Amino acid sequence: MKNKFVVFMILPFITLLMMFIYYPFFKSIYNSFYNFNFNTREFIGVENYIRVIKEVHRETFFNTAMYVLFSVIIEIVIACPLAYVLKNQFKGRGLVIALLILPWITPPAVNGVIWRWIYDGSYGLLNDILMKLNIIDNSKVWLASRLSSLFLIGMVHVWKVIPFMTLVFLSQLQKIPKELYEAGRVDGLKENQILVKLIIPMMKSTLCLMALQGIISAVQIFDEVYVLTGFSLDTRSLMIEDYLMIFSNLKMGQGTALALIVMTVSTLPMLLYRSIRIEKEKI
Amino acid sequence: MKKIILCIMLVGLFIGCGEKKEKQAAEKKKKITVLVAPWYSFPETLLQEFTAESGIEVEVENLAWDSMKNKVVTAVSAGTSPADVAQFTSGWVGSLGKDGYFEDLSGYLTEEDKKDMANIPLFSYEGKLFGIPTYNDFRLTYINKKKFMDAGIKVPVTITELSASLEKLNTIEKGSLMVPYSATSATATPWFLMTKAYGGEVFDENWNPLFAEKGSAGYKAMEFLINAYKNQLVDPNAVTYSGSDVVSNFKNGKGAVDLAGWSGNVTVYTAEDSKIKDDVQAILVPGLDGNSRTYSLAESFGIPAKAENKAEAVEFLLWLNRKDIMKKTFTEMGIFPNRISVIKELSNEGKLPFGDVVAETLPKIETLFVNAKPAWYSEFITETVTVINQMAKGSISVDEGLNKLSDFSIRVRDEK
Repeated sequence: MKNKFVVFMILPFITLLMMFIYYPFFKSIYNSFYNFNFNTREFIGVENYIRVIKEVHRETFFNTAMYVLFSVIIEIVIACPLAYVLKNQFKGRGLVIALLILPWITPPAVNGVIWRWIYDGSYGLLNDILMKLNIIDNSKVWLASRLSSLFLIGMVHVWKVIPFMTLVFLSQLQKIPKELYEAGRVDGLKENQILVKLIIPMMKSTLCLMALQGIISAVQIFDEVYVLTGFSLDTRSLMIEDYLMIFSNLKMGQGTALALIVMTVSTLPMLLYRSIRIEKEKI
Repeated sequence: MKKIILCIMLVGLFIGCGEKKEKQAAEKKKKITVLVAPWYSFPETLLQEFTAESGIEVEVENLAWDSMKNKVVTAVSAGTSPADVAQFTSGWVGSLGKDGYFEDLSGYLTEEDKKDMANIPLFSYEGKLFGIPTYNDFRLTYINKKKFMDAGIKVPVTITELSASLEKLNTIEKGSLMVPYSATSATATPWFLMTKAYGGEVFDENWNPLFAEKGSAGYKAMEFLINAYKNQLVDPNAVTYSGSDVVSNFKNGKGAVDLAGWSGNVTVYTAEDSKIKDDVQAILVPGLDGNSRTYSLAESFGIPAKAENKAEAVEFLLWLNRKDIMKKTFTEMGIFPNRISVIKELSNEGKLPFGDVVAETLPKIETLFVNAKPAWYSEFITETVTVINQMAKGSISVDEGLNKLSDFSIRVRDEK
């Protein structure tokens, strides 16, 4: 009876999952072995995967790796201490948290448009601020050079992801008993030492999860790149390459194969993390 | 008695439901959806005019150019229809058109219509017509004549004169040439146009690339554009500018030459909100030895094969292509007319800004390539704009870029 009730309760969820996740997923795997384009459908085995490896611009792998690297490091380095500060009660804390959420709820394309204005080489806010601070003499076209573009696009992504990470860290920090901080202080630890020696080790699993979240969202970066630099090869991400393959070049099979490759690669760190945890639990 | 009342109520309910269903069906039949790019923002009064005449309501969905194309491709791939009427680009003739995803509209136009409408061949394949041309999007050059006069320069007719003018204008204000260099679709247009201006073609009739050879028109055109960027004749920010950025900047008084401007800009640049409305002048595209050439990237509206209200959609398309409506869409929306007779009438009525230049340009309009666009056109455009963006940023030389593009075009041609 109990089992029937459980099945009854989870049935709608499983049905939706089958319809919107598993069916499209397995259909995509099936399609990736076909050369299909509207009326054409021809089984070609792993040819799509071979073509993808041959034809995808190498730059897109490098660019995506750079987005992942920039994003994950900066996101954790900023979000963790920020959450630590927000843990304390102070006047206007609620307002700060509300403001913090704003970039997170802004649609990515709108986010891109705002930052396009900030980075603009003629009338952009960034040039204006740097010139007023006498850091630069003339306006710079920030999105013209490859490294600066990659970094600045990465920063736009970071700006969007940090609020979410901060809130997750904050919720974890609030679970840590106050006695632990007091014990640390009694033992003569300073605030930064409490953070490094006590808190961070306790939040290791959350940090790992957030790093994984950061990797997955950076691998999927699209809107920010598209709005700021279009299809430029200097900044093109794997997702934009995939979009061009499917919607512009109408190579549906190859595009599906690339999407599956990207999905597999971005899942690898998660599988690695899970296997390490399972090993540790066994010990 | 109760039973009788109950029966009457049930019958009434049944009839009511039936009537409601019929009414709903009638309403459904009388409404069409139209999926188009943002520049087709039809004024409400115009659509009401159509509804009053035909009894058909029109619901317009405006999506950004790329999103609009994505929606059409996604919907037809899934075997559905994105709308009853959807914008149809000439790049789809060999794919979506040929494969039967759009209705053949050739039977709805008279021979007289076909003769009067420019660009019909662009949307035709083996005698079938997949889109009725709506926007006669040929290219003109626009100059800010005040800046030219202030610099004491006469209107350029040849490419040599254009180069000299740009250099002189640049001594007064940097970035006088308005051309996009970002990796977006509009970036390819100035190169195609300048290739024609240098007296050549991008491909021959067998789709062999003609631009990799030094001294070819395509090579010279690319050299002209990349050198213009390197020599700061163009705003350094142009590596991030799209086609719309060029239009809005020029309209706001930036730069002095919009080299490959849309024909519809004759109304955009002379509109009340334009800062250059009194200073702008359309000219023939400067050419080699003064021989001006230009081409059209016309747009059309088609009817997806799975559209629910095809008859109503046809009625809307034919109404839209009526001469009086075409005049209205030009004056109210800047959609450059596709009917030659309408262009002449507007010019005679003095309603077409720069009518003399337009009249002189019309016979010079060519198709982009010698043949109709190939199935790999979109792929080629993506690679072209990518390469131009790289060359402007100095990541690769003109030589490397054009060789890369040449190899790419041969590969995709042979693949298909």
